[in-house]
Amino acid sequence: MAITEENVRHVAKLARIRVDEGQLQSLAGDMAQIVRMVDEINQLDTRGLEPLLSVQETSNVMRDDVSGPVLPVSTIEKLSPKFENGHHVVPAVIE
Amino acid sequence: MNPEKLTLAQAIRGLLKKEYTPGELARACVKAVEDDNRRPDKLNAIIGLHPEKAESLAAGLREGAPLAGAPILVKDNMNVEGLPVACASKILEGYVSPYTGGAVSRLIQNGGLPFARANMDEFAMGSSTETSHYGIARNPVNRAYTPGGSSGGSAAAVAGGQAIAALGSDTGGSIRQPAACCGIVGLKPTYGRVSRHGLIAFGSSLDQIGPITNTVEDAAILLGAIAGYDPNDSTSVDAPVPDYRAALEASPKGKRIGLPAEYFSEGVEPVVRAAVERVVAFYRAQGCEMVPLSLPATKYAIGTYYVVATAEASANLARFDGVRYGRRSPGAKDLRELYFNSRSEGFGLEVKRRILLGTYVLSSGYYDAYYLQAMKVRRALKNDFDAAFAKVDLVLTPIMPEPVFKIGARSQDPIKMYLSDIFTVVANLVGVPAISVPCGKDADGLPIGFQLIGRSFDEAGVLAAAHAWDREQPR
Repeated sequence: MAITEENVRHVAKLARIRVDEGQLQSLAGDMAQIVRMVDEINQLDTRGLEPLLSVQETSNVMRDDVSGPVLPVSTIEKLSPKFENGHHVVPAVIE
Repeated sequence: MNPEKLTLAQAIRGLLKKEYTPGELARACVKAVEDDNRRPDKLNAIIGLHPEKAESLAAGLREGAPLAGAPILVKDNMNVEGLPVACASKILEGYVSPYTGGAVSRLIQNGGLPFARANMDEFAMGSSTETSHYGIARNPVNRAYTPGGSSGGSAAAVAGGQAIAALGSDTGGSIRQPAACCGIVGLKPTYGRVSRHGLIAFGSSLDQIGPITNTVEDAAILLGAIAGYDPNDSTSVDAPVPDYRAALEASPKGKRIGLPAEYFSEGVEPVVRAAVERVVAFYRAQGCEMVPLSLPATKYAIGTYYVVATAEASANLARFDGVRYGRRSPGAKDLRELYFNSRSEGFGLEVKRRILLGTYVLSSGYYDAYYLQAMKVRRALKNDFDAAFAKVDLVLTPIMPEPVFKIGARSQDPIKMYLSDIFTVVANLVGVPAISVPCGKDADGLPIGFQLIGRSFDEAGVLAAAHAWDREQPR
């Protein structure tokens, strides 16, 4: 499948990454090449093969429903770009 | 003391005999880094020096801890409480870790003391340590060449005498390939052998932490200090950790070693082939049975890897949004702009390329053709290896089809860079352990490495066979 500049614009929006118009052509070109390489996987006949989701194929791991240690709010505050009254602060979401 | 020629085994002996203290050894490594940093072509293998951390940990050193206070270099994607961790990315600039991850905690309990952070490709995405926000790292064997990647800082520091041993992480070859490029040893353990807790995730179904060391014996010692079950990583496996060092003495005689045709094809350069064939002759002389093999799905491995790894990366890196930690772009008008600006300014080009590719292969309309198909090919690859390991104990291959490349030679050509990993990605996709061991040099004196791949959780068998070769080599 060929990848177009429009595809790149679309996935960039989904991934919240800005691609400048100046970069778009070279990025789309690189990605088209990579996708061509990746496309080779479709030459293998995989009928009858179950997808391998995890190499260990263990069943789901459950833990006891008890709370463990958590980071103190003071540490979270130190790591936060902007923090007030116990909350991370971001620009307004609602007009 | 001079850290340059010191193996981890020798350092432990010296520490136990009190010839030097852990603090002195850490400071000697720091001095080697500071001296080198004055050169215009500095290795730039280490991007953070923290001898005070090693010294404070040394105060709490447990009597009888097997690593005896040896300073260990840690790749810049592992959380160590109180130290910065940035994945060599601008987006984590200034971030200081509030906790220590599982493997590093175990390392510290066993007397291995983090004293510095190693340079790497940004978010471990690269094969040459050229995408780091902190500048490129160089190969100590010849500084015009890359040290490989993504754990290129870890490998260059150990080979360059700035660290005695290091931890790296390996998602598609990122421990083994730089170790080979720098002429030292690197081991990717079985998926689940070492805790991934506190390792900043790239491809969660592929990532493993492992040792980068001067010798196979050192790799055995360091693996023993980090391996084991961790309830904080639900993919770590609750299986006993053998004494890897004791296992080294097992003779390779009678072992069956597979030689897969796909790894000795036309594309392998003669100098690499000749070096690896000397290893084949060695094992034959040791009484091993060399078994020709075919792993037919191999030709689809690199494509499969770049689907799985980028898909997982696009999901894992969604957490870096400038809201709760890391770098936030100033002046955004609304939340959407804050996400866009923080991510666009914080990630480098290669990371963006992989996030976009991962988003593409997971997006509506392409999921079945890429992600689902890759999962099925991954099954075919595993079936190949299951069939092989019914017949052989180990599989032997080159690490790379070509010798080490120069700085800048591939950085503008992503496909060429991706193909550097063609022989290493399979062990990650299948989850099996694999080691890289030096086996010669090319015409320019750059190291060449071979790879031994073993059955899941047979690190002991992989290490023993590798040690048989390694201990015969001049140093």
